[in-house]
Amino acid sequence: MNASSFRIQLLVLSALAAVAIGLFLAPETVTVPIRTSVRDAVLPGHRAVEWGVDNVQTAALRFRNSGADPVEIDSPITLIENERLLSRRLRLENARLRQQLKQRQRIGVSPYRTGEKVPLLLDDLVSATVFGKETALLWKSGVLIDQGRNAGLREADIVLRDNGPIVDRGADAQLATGFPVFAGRCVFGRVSHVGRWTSTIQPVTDRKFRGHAQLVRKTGKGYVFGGEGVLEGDGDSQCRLTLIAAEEPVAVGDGVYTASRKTAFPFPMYYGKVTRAELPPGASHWQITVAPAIGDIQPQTVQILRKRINPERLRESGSESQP
Amino acid sequence: MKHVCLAITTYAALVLQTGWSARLTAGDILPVFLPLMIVVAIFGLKGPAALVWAAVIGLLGDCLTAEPLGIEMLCALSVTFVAGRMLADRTVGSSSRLPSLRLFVLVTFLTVESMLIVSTAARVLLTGRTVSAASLLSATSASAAYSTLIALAVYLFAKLLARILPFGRSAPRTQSSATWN
Repeated sequence: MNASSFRIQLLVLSALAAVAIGLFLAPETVTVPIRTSVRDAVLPGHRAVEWGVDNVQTAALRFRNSGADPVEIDSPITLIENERLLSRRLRLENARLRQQLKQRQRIGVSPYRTGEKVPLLLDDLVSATVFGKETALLWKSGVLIDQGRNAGLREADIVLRDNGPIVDRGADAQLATGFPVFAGRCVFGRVSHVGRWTSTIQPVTDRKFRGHAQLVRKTGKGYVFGGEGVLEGDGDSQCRLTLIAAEEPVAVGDGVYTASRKTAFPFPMYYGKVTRAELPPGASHWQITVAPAIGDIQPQTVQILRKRINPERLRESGSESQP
Repeated sequence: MKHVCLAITTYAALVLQTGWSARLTAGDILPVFLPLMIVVAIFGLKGPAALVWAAVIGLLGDCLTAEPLGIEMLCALSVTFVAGRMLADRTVGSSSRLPSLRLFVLVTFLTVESMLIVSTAARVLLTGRTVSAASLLSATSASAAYSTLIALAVYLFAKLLARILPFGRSAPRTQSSATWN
C-alpha cells in the first residue's frame, strides 16, 4: 500500500471521526436541524413509493377487470365496502335520532330561547403519517425517532414500554397525551407519548388502552344505543367490552362505538363489532369480545383530534374583565 | 457517476429502512438496509471516498434514532476502515466488476453484524440499560443474516445483468489490484 495514500486515508478517517465526536457532543440546537432535515427528506420518497404501489395495484385491478367497461363496473369488493360504510353511517344516525327523540319526550323542549352557544373547546383534525413503527421495531423497541427532552421522559422507559406506532407529529403540532387517533371513521387509538416532533400511539388493542364505548344494536324499531361500558385491549388483536350489565341485551354482530358524551370524540366513532358475547351463570356483567375495525390494517396516515381553547371565548372573557 | 448511483441507492435504502422494513420482517427478524450501503461503499469505492460515504450513511442511521448523533457514524467509519484494510491485497482476476460470491457474503454479513453489535451496545450503554450478550448476539445475527440474504438476492440479480449486458464486463487485470491503494 502506498504510504502517502495510507496517510491521506488516516487523515480523512481522523477528520471524519472528529466530526462524529463533535456531533456526539454537540447541543440540540446543532443536531436537531440535521435530524429534521433527514426526516423531512425521507417523506418524498415514502410518498413516491406509496404513489407507485397505488398505481401498480390500480393497474393490476384494471388488468383483472379488462374487457369490462371500467366506468360501469366497479370492483365487487369496493361496492360491498361502500355499502357497508353507508349502512354503518345510517345505523348510527338512526340510533342518534331515536335517542334525541326519547330525550325530548322525557324532558320536553325548553320554553326559553337560549343565546348562541360559543363552545369553549374547538376540535380540529391533524393528519399524521405513521412513520416510526419500523424504526421502533428496528432495535426491538430500543429506538425512537425523537422522544423530546421537554417531555421529561427517559428514552429507555418509552423504548421498553411502548411498541406502538409512531407518527410524525408531536409537540410542534400542539399534540398532547390522550388525544384520540382515527383512521377514517374508525378509532385507531390514542396518543400515548408526545415528543418534540413525533408521538407514539397506543392502539385500541393495546393492553393498557381503555375507552368509553357504547353498543349500537338492531331492534325491531331500528337501531338504538345500547349499554355503555369500557373497551379495553387484550394485548393481542382483539378488544373486550366490559361493564355491560347482565340485564342489557347484547348480540353478536352489534356495533361498538365511542360513547360520545363521555369521550373526547365529538361524534360517535366506530370501534368494531361484537364477535362473542357470553353471560356466565350468576355473572353481573357480560363477557364481550370485540373485533376492532382497524384489525390488521396498518394505515399510512391517521387523523388526530386536537382540542384547543376557542379564541372567541378568550376574547369574550378578556372584554368582560375590562371595566 | 458512481457517486450519483450510490446517492440514489442510499436514499432508497433510507426510505426502505424507515418505511418498509417492518413489512419485510421474517417473524421477528427485521432487515436493515443502510448498513448494506456501507458494503457497497467498501466494494465500490477507493479509500477516502469509501470512508466519506460510510460516514454519511452512518450519520443517516444516527438521524433515525433518538440517541446523540455520531454513534453509527463512528461505527461505520471503523468497520469501513478495517474492511478496507483486509480487502487491500485482494486479487481481482475475473472480468466481472463484482466481487466473488463467497467474499461478498462474508463481508456483507460481517459488516452488518459489526454495525449492529457496536451501535446497539453503544446505545444500551448510553441509556444505562443492560442486555445480555447472548440475546444481543442472537438478535443482531438474525438481522444480519436476513439482510445478507436480501443483499445476496440483489447481488445475484446484478451478476445476471452483468452477464447479459455488455457494460457489466471490464478488461481482465494482469496484476494484483487493490480496492484500497
